[in-house]
Amino acid sequence: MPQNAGYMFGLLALVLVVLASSMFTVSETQQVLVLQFGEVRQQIKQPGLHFKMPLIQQTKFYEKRILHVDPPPEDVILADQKRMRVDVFARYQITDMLKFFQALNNEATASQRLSSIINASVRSQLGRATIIGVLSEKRDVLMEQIQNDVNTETGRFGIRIVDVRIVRADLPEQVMESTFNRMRSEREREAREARAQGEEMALEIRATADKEKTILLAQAIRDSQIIRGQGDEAAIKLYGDAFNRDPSFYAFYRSLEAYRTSLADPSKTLVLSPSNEFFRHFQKGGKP
Amino acid sequence: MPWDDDTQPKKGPTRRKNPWDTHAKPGQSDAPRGAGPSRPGAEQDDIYAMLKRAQENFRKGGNGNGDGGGNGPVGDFFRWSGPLGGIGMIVVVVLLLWLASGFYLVQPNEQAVVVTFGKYTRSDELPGLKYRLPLPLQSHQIVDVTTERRIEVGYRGDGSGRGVTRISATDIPDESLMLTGDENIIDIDYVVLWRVSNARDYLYSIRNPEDTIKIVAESAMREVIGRTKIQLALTEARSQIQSDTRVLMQKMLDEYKAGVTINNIQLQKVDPPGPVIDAFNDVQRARQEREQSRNQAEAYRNDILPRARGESEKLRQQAEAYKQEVMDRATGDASRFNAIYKAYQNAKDVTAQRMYLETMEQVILNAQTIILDDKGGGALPYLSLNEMRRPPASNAPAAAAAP
Repeated sequence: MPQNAGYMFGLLALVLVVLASSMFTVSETQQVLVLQFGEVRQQIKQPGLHFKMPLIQQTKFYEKRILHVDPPPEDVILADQKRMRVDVFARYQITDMLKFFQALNNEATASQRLSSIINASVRSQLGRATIIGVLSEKRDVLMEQIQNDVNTETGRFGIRIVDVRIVRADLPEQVMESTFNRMRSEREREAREARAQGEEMALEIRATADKEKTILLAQAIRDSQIIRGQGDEAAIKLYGDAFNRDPSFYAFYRSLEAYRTSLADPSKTLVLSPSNEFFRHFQKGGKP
Repeated sequence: MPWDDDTQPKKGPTRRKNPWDTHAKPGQSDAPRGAGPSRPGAEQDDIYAMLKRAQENFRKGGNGNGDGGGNGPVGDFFRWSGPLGGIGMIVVVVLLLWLASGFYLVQPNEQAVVVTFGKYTRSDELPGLKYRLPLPLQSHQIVDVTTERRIEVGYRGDGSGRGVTRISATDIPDESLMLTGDENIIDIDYVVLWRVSNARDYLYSIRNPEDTIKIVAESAMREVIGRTKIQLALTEARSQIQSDTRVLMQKMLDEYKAGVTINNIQLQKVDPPGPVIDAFNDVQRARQEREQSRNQAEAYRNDILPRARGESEKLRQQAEAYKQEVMDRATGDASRFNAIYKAYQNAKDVTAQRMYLETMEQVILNAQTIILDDKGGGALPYLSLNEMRRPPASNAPAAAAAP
């Protein structure tokens, strides 16, 4: 009885070990290649519980999710002879594990190979583009062309390129300084223009104001002369009307008034002749 | 129950603990494999803590129900197997504990994904206590789907990258300097706010989602800026840039089936790069100066024009006054003359004589008068100009004495 139990136990353990080494789970993120003496027997893409022959078959797990390649940034000369530092990244998925295993074996190699293929394509595609094209207009088209280029190259690796994108397209450091200089000069242009415009406006406003002032005063002087003239005219008319009735009496009257206002003054000295009309009775004696 | 008192305290705890531990450990070591490299350690701890909680719940339940008879059959089984010894009981307890290890909690901010032998089985989108088959049959992963996460591009906040305030932020020019559509360079720092929208896609579509989001953000931002002129980017196009980048990022991430929603892009700093910032500020200053010049000129205008208007009005009023004055005077003079003339006509000679004499009287009374006979020739008509300038008072008697 104890011996039987021992055998039973041993057998059970053996079965368990065999089962354990023949079962394996594949998660949603994985895909598996089953190899027998280095030869591919199975490509498993379905997640779940799977079996293999124990001992003689090995499994090789590959990633099923989208993977990432980020080649080092590259200096590219564009069609307009401008240099740019371009950094792209690509997303890929392993679609055919057999090809992938044969051509690249692992992700590190894949990453290396893809990097050089991508950079070569970037160089050739951007070499036909202008800087404006890279920055805006044709960015989408360029990225698509690079993706197509790379996809045709990498089909034999069992890889599908999901996406190639330009992350950065910057000016290389040597060009940065001259770009900054250009930017500075552009700003300077703008600043000077603004200042000159200020001066322009100020001069214009001041001159206009001065002009308006001069005109206002001139108009006022004109008006006042007209008004004064009207007054003078009216006065002359009044005098004329009155004095014309007897000009000789006017002369007499006005002369007397003038004598009174101009000569009746202690500072004046008159030298008169005794024959003056005023002294007539002075000389004639008491006769009227 | 008597057996409770006898057996449980001595054997129970040790027996329960040991089988649990042996199960718990493989369970724990299995979790990271299922979780994949992207799972942070904290979440493994969460799972472990949850298993632990489930275990404790179970233990409490077991003890409690032992009295109440809710687990009657189990109690009966123990009593039946009494004579067979502890083996059956151990097996049953171990089995129960193993089954109970399938309980887990989903918090309101979480979603859980359950896999059977690694194959996706279901997602728990509603919170609560959930059950799955125990390891190694099924396992689950929990993802926080409501917390908003941030990725800073162009700068790093206070180390963690999760700080809300920007204390001692360090600039990263490689990320923040980019080319605008008019070939200028601009310095932009921004934050990407995102959350997981679909736990399954988030876990199974992309290997390192956070890195992907960041690189996608950079790519999208540079594409958007590459279409924008620098002056616009610095001023009114900010919100446009934010929304364009968000839309572009979302489109790219949806292509990857990333299971991620971009909530927002926040531009933190949009500046010209350091070496040229002075030039840009100078433009602002120049514009201010332009306004200043204009304002000063307008002030000058506002100062002199009202004065000129006042001055001209003054001239006009003076003229009016003059006009009125000469007219009134003329009217007065004329009517006076008329009145005198009228009276004169009645006795012409006498009146003229009288007027003459009265006038001369006044003149001679006031002025110094020298009467000199021009026919007599006795006195030389010599006039001392000096004497004539003398005050009249001292001169008057002499003059009077002369004739």
